[in-house]
Amino acid sequence: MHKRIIYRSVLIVTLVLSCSCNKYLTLYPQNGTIRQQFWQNKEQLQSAVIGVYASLIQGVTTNGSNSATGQMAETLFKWGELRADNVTTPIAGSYTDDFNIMNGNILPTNLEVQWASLYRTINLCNTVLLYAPGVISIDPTLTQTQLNAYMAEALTVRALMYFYLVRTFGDVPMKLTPTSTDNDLVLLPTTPQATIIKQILSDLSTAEGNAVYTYGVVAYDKGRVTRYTINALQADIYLWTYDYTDCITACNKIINSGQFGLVAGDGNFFSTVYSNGNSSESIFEFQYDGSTTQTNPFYQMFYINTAGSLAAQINVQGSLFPVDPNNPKNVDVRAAIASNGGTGAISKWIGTPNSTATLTAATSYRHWIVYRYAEILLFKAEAEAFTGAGQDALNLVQQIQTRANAIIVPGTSLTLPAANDPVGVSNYVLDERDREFIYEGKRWYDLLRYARRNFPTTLPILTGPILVNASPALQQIILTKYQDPNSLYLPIYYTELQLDPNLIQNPFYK
Amino acid sequence: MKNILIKTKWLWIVSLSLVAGAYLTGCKKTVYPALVNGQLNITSYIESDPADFSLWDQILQKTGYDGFLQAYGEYTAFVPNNSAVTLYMKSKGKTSVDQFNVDSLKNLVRYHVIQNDTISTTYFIDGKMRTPTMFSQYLTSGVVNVNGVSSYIINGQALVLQSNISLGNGIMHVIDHVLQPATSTLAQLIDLNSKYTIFDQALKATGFYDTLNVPATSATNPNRAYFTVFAEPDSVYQSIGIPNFAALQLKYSTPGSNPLHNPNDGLYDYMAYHILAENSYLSDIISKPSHLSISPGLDVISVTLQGLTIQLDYDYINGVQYPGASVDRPHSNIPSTNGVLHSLLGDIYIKVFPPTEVDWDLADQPEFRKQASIFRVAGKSSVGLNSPLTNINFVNPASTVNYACQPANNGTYYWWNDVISLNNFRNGPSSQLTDIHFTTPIIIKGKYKVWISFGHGSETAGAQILVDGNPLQNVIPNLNSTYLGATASLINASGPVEEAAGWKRYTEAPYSATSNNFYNTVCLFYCGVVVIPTTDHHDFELLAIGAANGNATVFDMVQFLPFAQNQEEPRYFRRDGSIGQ
Repeated sequence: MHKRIIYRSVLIVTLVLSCSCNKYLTLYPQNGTIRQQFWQNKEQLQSAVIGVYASLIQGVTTNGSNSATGQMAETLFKWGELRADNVTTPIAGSYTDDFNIMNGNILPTNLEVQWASLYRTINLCNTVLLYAPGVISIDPTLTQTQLNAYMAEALTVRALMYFYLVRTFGDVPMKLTPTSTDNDLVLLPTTPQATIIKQILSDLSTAEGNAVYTYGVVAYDKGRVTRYTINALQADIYLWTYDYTDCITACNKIINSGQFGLVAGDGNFFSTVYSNGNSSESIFEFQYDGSTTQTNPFYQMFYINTAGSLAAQINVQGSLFPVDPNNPKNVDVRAAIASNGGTGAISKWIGTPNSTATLTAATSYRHWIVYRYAEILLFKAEAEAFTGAGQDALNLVQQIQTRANAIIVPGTSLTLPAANDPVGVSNYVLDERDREFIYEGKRWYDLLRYARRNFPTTLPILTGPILVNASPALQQIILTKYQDPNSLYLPIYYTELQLDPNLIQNPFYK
Repeated sequence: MKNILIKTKWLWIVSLSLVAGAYLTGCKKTVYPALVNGQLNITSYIESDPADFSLWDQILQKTGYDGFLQAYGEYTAFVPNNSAVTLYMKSKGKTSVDQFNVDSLKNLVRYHVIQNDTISTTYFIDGKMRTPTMFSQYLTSGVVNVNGVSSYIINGQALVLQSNISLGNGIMHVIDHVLQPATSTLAQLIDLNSKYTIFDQALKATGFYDTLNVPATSATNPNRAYFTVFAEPDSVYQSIGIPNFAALQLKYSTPGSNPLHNPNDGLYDYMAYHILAENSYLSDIISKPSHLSISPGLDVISVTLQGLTIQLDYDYINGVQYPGASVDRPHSNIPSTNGVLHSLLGDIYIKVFPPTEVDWDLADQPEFRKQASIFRVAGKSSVGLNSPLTNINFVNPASTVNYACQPANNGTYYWWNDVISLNNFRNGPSSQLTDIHFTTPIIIKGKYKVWISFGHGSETAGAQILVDGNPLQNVIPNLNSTYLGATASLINASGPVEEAAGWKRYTEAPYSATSNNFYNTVCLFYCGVVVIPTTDHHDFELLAIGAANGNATVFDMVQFLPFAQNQEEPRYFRRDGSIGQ
C-alpha cells in the first residue's frame, strides 16, 4: 500500500515536471538557425546581406545540362552572347540547346532559358528587405544610416536581377516579398516590362540616397553595391528606355567622382583588369575568390579540349579586330584578350596574359565584370549621340580606342561618322562596344537595345550581325522570325508555366 | 475457471481486433492507375477537342485513318482546325465531309501526316522537311510575318497556330488552312506561268517538256523521278538581248540542227544544264557547293552563298571571276508532283574550256588566309587546327594541321615560301592523322597528270594519293625518301630524264650533291594520270601507309597539268609566288 502511494506520487511528480516547461511537440532544428533566432543584431544583418552576394556565385557549372542549379555567370554569359555574333559551337562538344538558341530555334523546353538562379537571389534580397527593419528595434547599436545602407544593397542587387530578366524575357513575374514558407507561395502573373522598369528605377533612387560611397576596402568597393554601382545601373536602365538625359546625368555622377579611370592599355592590361580583377576601372564584379573553392563556370564552358562547348567566332580575329597590314606587331590590346586566333579559345575567361597557356579547372576564378568605367564612357557616348553632342561622343569613343591601341583599317573598320549624324555616331559606339566588352555578356542586349529603338526600321542593326552565326538553311526563317518583336525575348521555361497557371507565355512561342 | 475466462477474454479481444482490423483495411480500395501512360494519342487528342477539330475528326473516321493515328508509332500530324476545314469545303463547293469522295480524303489525310518521324519546329528550315509525307510529297516550312507577328508557315499555304503538341504517338501542329498537294508537273508549272514563255518554248523544242511532264509516281526510271529546274523568265532573256525563242535558238543551235532529243545540239545542252535530277529545295541547293545537271557533258552548276544571295556559277576559272546568276528566292521553292521549280535573275550557261593547268598551293586555305599576321609572313606559323576546315577534313579530328611560312631565304625554296604541315601523318596508332581530304579548286574536265611536292622530313610513312576516291598509279613509298638524292645519277640529270623517273624540279633551288640537303629534296613527285569527269571542285586525298616514325609532314603544292601539255613547264615557282619559265 505504502509502495503504491510512493509509486503514484513519483509518477505524478514526473508527469507534472516533464509537461510543464517544454512544448515538446514544437521541434526546432538541432543544427541550424531559424528565422526567429536570426535578425537579432547588426552582425547577423550584415551576414544576410553578404549572403545575397554569395548567391551570385553560388551553384555548379551545368554546361548544357539542367541549369536550374547553375551559376548565374553561366546563365548571364549565355543570355548575353549565344544569340549574338561572337561565339560559335565547335563540332566536338556542342550542346543542342546552345546550338538551337544560336539558330533562333528556341522552345520553352530549352534548358538555357531557366531563370532560377536570378530569382533565388531576388528572394534573398526580398528577405533582407522584409526583416532588416526589425533589427533596429532589437539591436540599439545599429544606426538608421547603416540599416538604410544595407537595404540599399539589397534593393540594387534586386534591381540588377530584374533588369537582366526584363531584357531577356520581356514581361516576367515581379515578386517583392520573400518566399519563406508555404503560405508565402503565390501564383503571380507576368508583370509588364514597363512596370518593372518603373519599380526598379524608383528602388534605385531610394537606394542611391542611402548607399555608401566606399567600404574602405577595394574588394568590398568592387564586390558590393556602392553609390557608383547604383549610378552605373541607372545609366544602363535609362539607356534601355532611351532616356538619354537621365543616362548622361547618371554617367556624370561617376565620371565627376574622380574615383575611376581607365587602366593603361599596356602589357599589364589583361592581368590588371581581368586576371586580378577589382581594378581601378572596375565598378561592380562578381567576386570569385581564389581563396575559396568556388570557381567560375568558364573553364568548363570554354576549355574545348575537354568538354568546353563554346568558342570564338572565326570573324572575331581579322574582321572585328583587324590586323594592321603594314605592321603585324601593331595590335589592338583587346584582340589577344578576346580569343586565341588559332584555337578560338575565349582567352578573356580561360587564357593567361601574354602567354598561350590556359587556366586550369582549379584556377578558373576570374571575376565576372558587371560594370566598369569604360562602359560608363560608352553609355554616355551613346546617349550623347542622340542628344546633339556627337563630337563629344566621338571623343569618348576615341578615348577607349586610344587606350586599347585600336587598329583602324580602311575598308574593314567603320569609317568615322559625321558628328551631326546621330545614327552614324551611335553605330560607331556600338561597334566599339563590341570590341571593348566582347565576351562580357553584353553583346545581345546591345544589339537588342539598338534594334528596339525604332522597331522595325532599326531591326537590321540586329539581324545583320546575327546571320553570321545562323546556318544557311535557316537564314530566311530567322530574318522573318525577328520581324516579330516578341521573338526577341526568350520563352518562359515550360515547368514555370506548369507550376504557375497565371503566367502567360510570350505569344511568339505558340 | 477464472483463469480460463481471463484467457478466453484475451482470445476474444485479440480475435475481435483482428477481425476489425481486417474489415477496416478491407474497406480501403487501393486505386492503381489504370493507364501505363496518361498521355493522349493523336486521335484521342483530336476527339477530346471537338470545338476545334470535330470536322477533321469526321474526315479521319470516314477514311478509317483514325485507327492508325491512335496506334503506337511515331507520327508528325498537321491538323487543320474547324475553320480551316470549313474554308476548304467551301472552296470545293461542299457543305459537309460526307459529300467528299473517300479516296480523295484519304490522299488529303496522308498529305498531312509524316510517318516514322517526329518533326518539331526546331527542325523546320527554309525548305522541305526532312521526311516526306505519307502521300510521298514533301512539305515545306518557312516563317512569315503578318502584321508584325511571325509564324511558321507550311507549304506557303497554312500558318501554324499551335506548335509542338507532344502526344503519345507523335507530335502535332495545328494549322489554319488545309494543305493541298501540288497537282501540276514541273512542265505544267512552267507552261502555265506567263513569265516563262521563251524557256517553255525551248523546253518543248528540246523534248525536255515531256521529260518534266511525268509525275514522280508514274516515273519508270527511279533515278529520274524528281527534277529541279532553274527556269529563266523572259525578263532575263530580254535583259541579255534575247527577245524571243528564235533568238535563243539562234544563239545556241547550229543553223539547221534540230534540238529535239539531240545531245549534239547546243540548245539541247543549254536546256539540260538548267535541270538537275534531284528534288532540291533551296536549302538543299546551298548545302552542296555544286550540283550535277543532266547535260550530256556532265556539267555542274556551282553554288555560292553570299550573305542572303544564292549565286549560281559564280566561278573563278583561269584567273577570271565570272559573275554568275542569282536565284530569285521569293519565286523559288515551288513544289510540283515531280520536283521543284526555281526562278533565276540571270542567265546560266555551260562554259566550255579546254583542260587547263591548276597550280594549287595547299597552304592557301581560308582559315590561314584570315590570319593576316602570319599568312605569307616570313618565319610565321599558325597553331594547329582541328578537322574540319572549310576545304580540309581528316580522320581523327583531334589531330591537327598548321600553316608555316618559312623564314626568309632559309633554303627551302617553297612556292610562296609556305607549306601546310600535318601533325604526325601516319597509318596508326588511331590517334594519328591517317587520312586527309582536300577540296581542290575548280578543275576543268579533262585528262591530267598530277604532281605533288612534299617536304623531306624524318617522317617515314608512305602515302597513297586518291582523286575522288580513285587511287592514282604511283604511291609515295616513304616521305623520308631523298628524292633525287636517292638515285645519285639523277642529281644533275636533265628534265626529261628526271621526269621519266617520276620527278621534276619546280623551285629555284640549285642542284646539290648533298643527299639530305633541301636543295635537292624540293621536287614534284609524279602521282599519275587522272580523268576529271566534271568541271568542279574535286576531292584530293592523302592516305597514310605504314605506322613507322611519326613527325610533322609538310606539303607545298599540287599540280594538275593537262595530259598533252609539256610537263616541265612552267619551270619555276618562286618564293615570292611568281611563276616563270
